[in-house]
Amino acid sequence: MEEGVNFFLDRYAQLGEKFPEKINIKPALRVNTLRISDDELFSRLEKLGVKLSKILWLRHGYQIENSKFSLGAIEEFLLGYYYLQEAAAQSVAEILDPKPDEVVLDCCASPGGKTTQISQLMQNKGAVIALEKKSHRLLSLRNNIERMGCSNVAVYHMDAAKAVQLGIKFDKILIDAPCSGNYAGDEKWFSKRRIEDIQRSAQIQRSLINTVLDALKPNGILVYSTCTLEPEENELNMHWLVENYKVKLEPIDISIGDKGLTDVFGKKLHDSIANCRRFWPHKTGTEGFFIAKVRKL
Amino acid sequence: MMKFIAQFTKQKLFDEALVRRIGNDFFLVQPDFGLIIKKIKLPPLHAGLYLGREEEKTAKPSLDLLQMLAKSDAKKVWLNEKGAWMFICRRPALEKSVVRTEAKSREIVLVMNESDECIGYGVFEGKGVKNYFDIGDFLRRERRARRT
Repeated sequence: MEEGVNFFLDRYAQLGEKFPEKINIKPALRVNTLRISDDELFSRLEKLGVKLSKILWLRHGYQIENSKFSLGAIEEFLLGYYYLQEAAAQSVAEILDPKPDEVVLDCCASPGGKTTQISQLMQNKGAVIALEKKSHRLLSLRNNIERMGCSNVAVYHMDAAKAVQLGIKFDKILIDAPCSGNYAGDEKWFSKRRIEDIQRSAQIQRSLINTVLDALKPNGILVYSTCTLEPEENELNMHWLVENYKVKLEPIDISIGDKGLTDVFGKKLHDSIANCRRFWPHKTGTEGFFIAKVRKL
Repeated sequence: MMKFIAQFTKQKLFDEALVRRIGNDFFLVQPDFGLIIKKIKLPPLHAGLYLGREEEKTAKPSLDLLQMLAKSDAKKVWLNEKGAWMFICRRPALEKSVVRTEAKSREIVLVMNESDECIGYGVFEGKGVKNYFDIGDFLRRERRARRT
């Protein structure tokens, strides 16, 4: 049967990984430099008895070592001084590296963690076009954009597969794709997923990449990310992309994570897949993640 | 939205020509950003710096509008730590929470915490402050969003 704990653990073993029984992911936050400096926030939270430690591979990311209360309801949170955002998730916008004079598309924006981070990295200049297909997710997105003080974001209720209908081309595009998730973020993951779900997810992701690429300028950058460990949604999708489109997988300058897999279940993939990054939770101490940086030629 | 602001101050907080309305929501749209959005053929739900929402009898200001008002000559009341927390939980500010006030009775006021940050607004009732709006509204909106 192509489901269940043993099925998936066996897959990961074939990819060379053996998991411990339990993985502890520490919560993390990102300082919102549109409103406050790292030092100021650190000092304020320290006075409240919150212990943070700097995540060295992130610009404004901190691990929450100790807190006697929830950080999701205090004044500093409500004033938009930080965003509760997992460490691997914070790396995506940093890899996209958006510049203040650029026009950036965020395809699957809600609830706005990466959207607001992109805005922050652009120092509220240029433009971030944030798309969200599901109407019930729009409120959270808009709330977070407001809370974080983003002034360079426009939100559209639309399916990113129709991004060309916006009528403009983008310098950079982020596809933080809907995916099958991973067990580090969901302890019931193994009982919920079957191989057919993963294959269906991969098809949806390919369809999205296919249409969104048309909205990217030549020489523009597309960052594709998922929070799944399944190669069908990650390396195999990138192999399909490289084989079928005029693109190049760029190296990713980050000191954490493994290289993308170039040998998946006996299938040899394009060498450049090694430029992608794979976050195995038991190695990085983060959520499972996959990130690819693609240049349109 | 401009009527709402005028209750607090006659000072010019921003260039009114940059204000855009989308439904009942108001935004401050900087010229460069506006030029980019103009090229997009579809109407946005949200564009620029959010100023707030006009409702039937009142307005819900954004966090940024509150902080802009706080820098103006708008009347203010400062609360201690406990009072500020209770205010953010949608409660009125009691007399014992008020550490300083610039307001007279029945005046509309901004409510400030001890770090000089605006956490909402209300009406000063001579002793305490009646809560008209506070920044805890973000969490209440999130809870409503999760229920839908």
